Amino acid sequence: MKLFKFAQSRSLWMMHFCTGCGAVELPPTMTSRFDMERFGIIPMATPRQSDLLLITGYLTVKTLKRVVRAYEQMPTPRYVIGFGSCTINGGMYWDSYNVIKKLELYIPVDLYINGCMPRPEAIIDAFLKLREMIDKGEANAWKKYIENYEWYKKNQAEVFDVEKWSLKK
Amino acid sequence: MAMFYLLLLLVLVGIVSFVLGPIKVLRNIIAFLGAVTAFFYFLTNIKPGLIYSLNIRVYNVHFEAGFSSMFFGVIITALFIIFLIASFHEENDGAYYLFAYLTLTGALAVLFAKDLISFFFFFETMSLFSFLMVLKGKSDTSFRSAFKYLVWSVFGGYAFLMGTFLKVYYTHSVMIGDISYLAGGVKLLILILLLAPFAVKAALMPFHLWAPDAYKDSKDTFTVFFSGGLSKIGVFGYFLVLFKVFTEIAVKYPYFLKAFAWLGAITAALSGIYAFMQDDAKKLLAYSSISQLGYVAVGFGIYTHFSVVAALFHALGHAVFESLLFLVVAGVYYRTKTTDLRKMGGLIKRMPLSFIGLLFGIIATSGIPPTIGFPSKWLLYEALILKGDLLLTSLVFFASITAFLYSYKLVHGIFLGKLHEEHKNVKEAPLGYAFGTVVLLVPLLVLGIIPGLVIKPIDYIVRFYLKPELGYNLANMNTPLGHVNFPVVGLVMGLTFALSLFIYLIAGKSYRAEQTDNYTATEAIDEDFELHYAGEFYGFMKKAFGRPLTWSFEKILNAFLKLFSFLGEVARGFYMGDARVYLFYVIAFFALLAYLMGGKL
Amino acid sequence: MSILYFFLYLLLVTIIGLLYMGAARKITAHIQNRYGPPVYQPILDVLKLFAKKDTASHGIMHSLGPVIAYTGIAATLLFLPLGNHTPLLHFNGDLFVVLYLLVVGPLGMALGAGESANSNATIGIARALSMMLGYEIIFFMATLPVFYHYGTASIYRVIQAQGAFPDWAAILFPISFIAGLFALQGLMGEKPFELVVAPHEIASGPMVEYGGKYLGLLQIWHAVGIIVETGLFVDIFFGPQSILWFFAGTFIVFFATVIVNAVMPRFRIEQAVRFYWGLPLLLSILGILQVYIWR
Repeated sequence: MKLFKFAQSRSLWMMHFCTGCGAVELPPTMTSRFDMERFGIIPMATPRQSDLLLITGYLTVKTLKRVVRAYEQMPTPRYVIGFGSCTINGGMYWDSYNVIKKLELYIPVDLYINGCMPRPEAIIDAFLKLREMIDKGEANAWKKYIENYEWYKKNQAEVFDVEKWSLKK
Repeated sequence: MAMFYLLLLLVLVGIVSFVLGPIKVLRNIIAFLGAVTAFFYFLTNIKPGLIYSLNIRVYNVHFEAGFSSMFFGVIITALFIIFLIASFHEENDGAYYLFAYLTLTGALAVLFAKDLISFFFFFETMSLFSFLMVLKGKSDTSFRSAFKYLVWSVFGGYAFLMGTFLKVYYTHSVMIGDISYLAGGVKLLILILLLAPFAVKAALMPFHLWAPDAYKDSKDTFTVFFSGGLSKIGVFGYFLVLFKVFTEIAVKYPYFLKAFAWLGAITAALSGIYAFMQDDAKKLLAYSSISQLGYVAVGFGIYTHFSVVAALFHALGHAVFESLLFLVVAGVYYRTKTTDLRKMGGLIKRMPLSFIGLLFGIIATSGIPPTIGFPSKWLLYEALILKGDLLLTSLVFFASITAFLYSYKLVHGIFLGKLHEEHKNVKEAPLGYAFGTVVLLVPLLVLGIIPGLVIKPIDYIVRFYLKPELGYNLANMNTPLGHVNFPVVGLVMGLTFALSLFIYLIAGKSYRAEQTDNYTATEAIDEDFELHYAGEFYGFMKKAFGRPLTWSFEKILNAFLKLFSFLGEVARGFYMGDARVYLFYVIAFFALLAYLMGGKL
Repeated sequence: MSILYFFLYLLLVTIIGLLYMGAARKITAHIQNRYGPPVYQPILDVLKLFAKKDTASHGIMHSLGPVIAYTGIAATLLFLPLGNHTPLLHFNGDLFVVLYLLVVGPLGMALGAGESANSNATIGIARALSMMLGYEIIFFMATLPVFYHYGTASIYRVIQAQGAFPDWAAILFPISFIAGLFALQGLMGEKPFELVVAPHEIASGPMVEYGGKYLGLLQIWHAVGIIVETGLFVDIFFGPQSILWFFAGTFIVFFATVIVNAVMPRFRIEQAVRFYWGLPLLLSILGILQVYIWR
């Protein structure tokens, strides 16, 4: 069991949902300069294969429903990292009519990286922090989603058509 | 006498079911019992070496049962039963069963015939009644297809008759017997003429043009017998001509055999390519059937003990898996009323038994162990390498790769992918189809794991003509090149499957996802969304092949057709139907005459 | 007893294959001036995938697809001699048994991916099968002269017939060897022939709907596949006389494919197939002519 836990924290396959401007920080993180692959983190093509959802920047109503769908397609255990100020409080879009201010209301987030925008060092730091949390058994946000499913759905229903966009299990 | 009784029985059953035509239940029972009786009568009463001759005043019809006639007879009769049982689900009249029985009579009589004249007669009987069977097909184009089939059959038949006359002229005997002692090129001519109808029946290129259309447009259940059973007459004919009529062919005309093998390999490869370009399930299978029979021709062309054993084994395999595939497609058509691969999909959830049938069918078609397709392919490759014709080997291998392509397209188009809204309530294929599927699955697997069961009778057929080289027992096969123990291959696959299944079972749980719960770049989709990728499945291969893919024999023949109709138009142009024009012809004629006579008129 | 041996053997080769995959990632990383993950990283990946709790499945065939894929490759492995070492079965690897068992894996994956009803998956499969018309035929034609020359269809006997260094089939048939290398790149599905997976284009193709344990099974399938594919090549062309040389040979061949993979872009499908029908086909025909001239 311990071995599996170890494997889970050392092998994080990431789906980077390139929503906002934060995505531009990922190429340097992946490539030679910062090389996140040395921590076993590589980008994956589909949510089915991923463990880690990286939300890189602000979310509009239009992208939120797609994020929720992607999140629900990921097999558990799954982790979410909110990236940049926009996911925390809307950031520079705090007064926009169609930008989501608090990501946490719609999907559970394990970890935030603040800054506008965070440098690759900060991202790597977040990955290491997440690894530590998994090792300690603290990265349990995905359980929250299952337990408080109704609550999350209620929040989501305020911004988009939940019937159409969420998955039936 | 037994052979005569058998044929008589079949004709009588045919006539009785025709008479009983409108009373469906009784007719079906009679037809079924007739076929089953014939099958068991065949198994129990007909022994190799049985001779019978029937005197019909002007002519003696000679029958003889050999090992080869037994082998093919059992295949054909068994497939006939499977065809009959499935066909009861279709709307057929009494004449349909009469024609079917007469086709079978012709086919069995061909296997028994000992002299060329009666051989020709029975062969034409079979062709004629199978033509009528195709004519009774389901679609509007049936007439055209059936006509095409008839024209090719008649072409083959006349070639055979010419060959017969030549043989009788030179050898003064109508019996099927050796001509290799004849002098000069006439024996080659006889050989080619006698081989032609069988090349037509076994759809060897360039004689295959009738096959895709006839297979597609005949009734679905009849195609099972047509493709699996009647094409075996072609294979039987190869055997007959190459071994009984011309015994020393390998010494006298090795290049003829080489050309024959190459023709077979080209047939296999090109038909394979055409097959994976088709969008219609039956047409795809028709080309696949032609392709598989190409291997048989290769086996005969190599002309060694292994290769001929491989060819005959493959002929049996072809009968099993090709009939199975056609039968499953027939069942699917019965339920969905379509054979268009683009309109089906996802039927695995509704027709699981049919899926299993088709799955094993394509595995055997591709030649993957442990199915009946594998031993023959293995033996054929060994024979090819032993013969040392490596380029031919490569072409055959190419053909066997095309089998993966078309067989995946078939299974994906029908059973995998998205289940369409209109097929949500489709049921499993009815009992008649299911029966055939299950029955055919048995030899498909058993003979793949224990090929020795039929290698023995096949060896008896071949060892009389070629030096026996193949070492075999129930499980093993030995050639100078290598050795395979087929049950071990099956056993290892079973064990590894158990292991993988074990890994699968101890790993985490999974849940069943809806088909709309799919990765579509996180877009929400509904039932109307076109997820099924079936049209233009190998569309990019058109780019890869480029122009050669657009060439075909049919185009050449159509060019001839155009030329002839153009000449006809020109000729017709002289007969305008106008009196003045005719008057002009008369005057011109006399003027010409006067000119030629030098004004002496 | 022998069944236990057989399981351990499979487990060992699977782990070695996973280490090869890790080495490939490490090598690629170094080529790109990075550190790269630890060599044992793929093992962790597989363990993690097997530990996933709820994976989506689209039906029985979708679940069985990866199982059949692993079955196929494991059965192939048991018929493939690793150098002089024949795995438990006395009956030594026949070329055609191996070649036909080798396609069970792709077939299983194709059937599984097909049932997911995802068009990306099916496009990937269509590409994979079409690619076979390219590389399989070249691979087969490249190995034919060797088998013809030694007069056997058994891989084991081909190994036995070859000796130490200058007696290799690779030296005897250099043209076929080069054609075989071209084919191997496609057989391994490495760039420039990576178009089956093509993550940026068709979202990892056949694997698009696979996660969790299914993807885990596909990973170990791929891992054993590396050993079997390079092993087949090494057995035929280098005739390794011991299991150690076998692994050395496979690693070197694998290293070569990885280096090519690291620096190449990707072909379009029809380009890839046509590429194989160009130079590699010519080379393999020349190789066949060579063996005719020699005899």
